[in-house]
Amino acid sequence: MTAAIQALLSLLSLIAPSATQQVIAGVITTLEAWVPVIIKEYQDLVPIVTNIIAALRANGEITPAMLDQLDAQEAIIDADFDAAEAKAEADDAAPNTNATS
Amino acid sequence: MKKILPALALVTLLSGCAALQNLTNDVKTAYQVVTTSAVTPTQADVAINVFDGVKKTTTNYLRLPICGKLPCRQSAATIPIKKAISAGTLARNDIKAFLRANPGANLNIQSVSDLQNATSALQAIIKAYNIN
Repeated sequence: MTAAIQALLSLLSLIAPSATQQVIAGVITTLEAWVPVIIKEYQDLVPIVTNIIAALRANGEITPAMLDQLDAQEAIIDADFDAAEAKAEADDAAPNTNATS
Repeated sequence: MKKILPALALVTLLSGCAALQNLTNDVKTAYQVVTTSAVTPTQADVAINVFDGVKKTTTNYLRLPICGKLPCRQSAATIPIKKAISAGTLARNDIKAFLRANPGANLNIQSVSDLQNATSALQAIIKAYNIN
């Protein structure tokens, strides 16, 4: 958890509006490495990731290719939401084994 | 006195008409704002951010086991959450696509209203099911 938080904190210090393309590329590379880990282990950090992605999108230096990379990361996050919904629906359909009696 | 009462009634009626007219004008103005106003990219980003927040909250709720032990979730909330998240995600992605294709351009307010409606629906679910 600490490593994930430190990684995100290091990104937060880099995403100023004046960030260059090189810096943005570095941030995206770090996100690509951490997003799967954060989704799997540290759900509480997902909003920070989405905020970083939103900040990068608003940067005037960002290229279409970089936007594609951010889209891919957001798609991973959305897929995780979809998986949670699908599991909830499946659990709803199954007999409730969680009830106390 | 008999002449004053109808006059008073008429004045009341007229003032009521004036109030009604003002209300009508207000509604017209609000309608014009809704139908003609544009949404800036920054405002759209805020709407997206709010939606993503409630989406995250309600999805976390769906990760809980069905009630029986605590913490738990009400299965009746699953479909409403899913519908609102699906509609909102679709609207959010449309807005993002527009912003990407038209950097800096304002959006028509109608294009953001679907996202706001989905956000409102999720906020209502959060309140109804006491999700936090």
